[in-house]
Amino acid sequence: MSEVEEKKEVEKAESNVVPIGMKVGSQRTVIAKGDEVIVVETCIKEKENPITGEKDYVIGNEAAELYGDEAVYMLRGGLPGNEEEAELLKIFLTNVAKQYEIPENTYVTYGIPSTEAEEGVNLFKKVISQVPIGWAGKEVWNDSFLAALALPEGLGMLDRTFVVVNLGSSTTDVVAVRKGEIVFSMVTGEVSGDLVDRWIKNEIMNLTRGAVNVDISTAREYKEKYANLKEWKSVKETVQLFEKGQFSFRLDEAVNKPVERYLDALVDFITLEFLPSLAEFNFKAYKVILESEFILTGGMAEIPGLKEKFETKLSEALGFGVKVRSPENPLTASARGALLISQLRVRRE
Amino acid sequence: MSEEVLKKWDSLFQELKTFVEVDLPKMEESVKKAVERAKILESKVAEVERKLKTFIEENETFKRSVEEKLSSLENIVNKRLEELEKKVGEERKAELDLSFVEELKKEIAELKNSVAQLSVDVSQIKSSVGEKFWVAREKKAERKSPRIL
Repeated sequence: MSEVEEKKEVEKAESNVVPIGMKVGSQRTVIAKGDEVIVVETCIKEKENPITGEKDYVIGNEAAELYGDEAVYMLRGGLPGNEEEAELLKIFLTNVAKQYEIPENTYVTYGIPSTEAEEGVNLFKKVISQVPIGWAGKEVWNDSFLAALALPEGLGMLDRTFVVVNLGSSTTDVVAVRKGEIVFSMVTGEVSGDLVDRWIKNEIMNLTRGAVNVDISTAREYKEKYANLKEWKSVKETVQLFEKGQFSFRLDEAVNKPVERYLDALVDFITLEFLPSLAEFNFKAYKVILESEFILTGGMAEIPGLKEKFETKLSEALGFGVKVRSPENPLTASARGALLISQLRVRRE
Repeated sequence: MSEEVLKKWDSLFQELKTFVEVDLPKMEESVKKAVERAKILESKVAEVERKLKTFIEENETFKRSVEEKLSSLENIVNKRLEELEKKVGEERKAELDLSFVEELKKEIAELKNSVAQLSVDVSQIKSSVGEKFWVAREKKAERKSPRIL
């Protein structure tokens, strides 16, 4: 092959770079590729081949469906905490890339939560350098910020001032952004989706006087199916109990009460912890932020009516009307925002 | 006069020399020790966090195993009771004191209720331990680019 032909081949290969946006969450990993959005459970189950004795892995949705609580969700707060979890994440991402046909010649922008845990970020960096995707380039951004880019303004959000409230499964991130710079952010595990799952499990036990003890993944399924603050519909579940026979309980109560409790805790966190800390740290930014809009994102923001109730409760707590917006499909917003950055890089290169 | 000044300088230099040769290495040593201690403390904190995590996981497993065992125990007792009642009914209904069976029934029902309550309590304790664990990990960051790497 002549030098010119070789150069042409390289150029051709470069032009075929596929931009990818990926949000690796503690509960779910979301991959945005073109118009396609893939949502996979971030879990893995190690098993042994009964014939060869070799280690084998079942990952993602299949692992969650087949093994329930036995499947290992290797991340906490969106990052691996130790080498062992990092290794599981590497295996998971490698398998996801294979299963969903993500080519090696990709530019990948990853979204992770805002964190001061350097160890977790370093482990994540190590993992993504070992996963066979992102050969054309890779970068890591704050996932809450990325979610704001999924709003109709897209990259235009870089000129705006706003607060992102990212309702994740294991943490809640509140990030104040002023013209593309994170002014202040706080993360808490006190308000999180998986706590709601546990509260639902407890609520079901209370309602059935201890007779029904659902596993956490079932509690989460109930939450995703029946949580609705817009229209509280009565949903009954029936179970056979010893000596009592058929026993019915209100599933909507078991689900919506914990969601309401979660919402109260969220408003408390913002009004009693985040905003006072911001005022203490930078009063000018605090004043500007108060007048700007709140962007609600993350998996929990998918619950119907949650955004509206949050707006009402926050406005009541602050004593003035607050504007709250949500990107379309909040669960996948970070990955779609990340895709915008990858697309921009590929176009420029 | 100049001799006095020189003497003063001399003594000052001597002090400085002692400080550099004796005190400074000691200070260096203390700083090193403090850094080492901080590292040890950090690793201990990490260890405590790890143990807490393991504790939460073990708590879950323990709770599950207790619940499974209690449930199977309940089943066995129920089955035996049914068998006993059947036998009583069929064979020596008149001779046997049925009040004993009734009492046993009551006791089992009470036992079941306590088990249910215990199960709820364990679940709530587990939740609160989990919550405390994550509250303790709350972090905040100030002024930085949204790009991390």
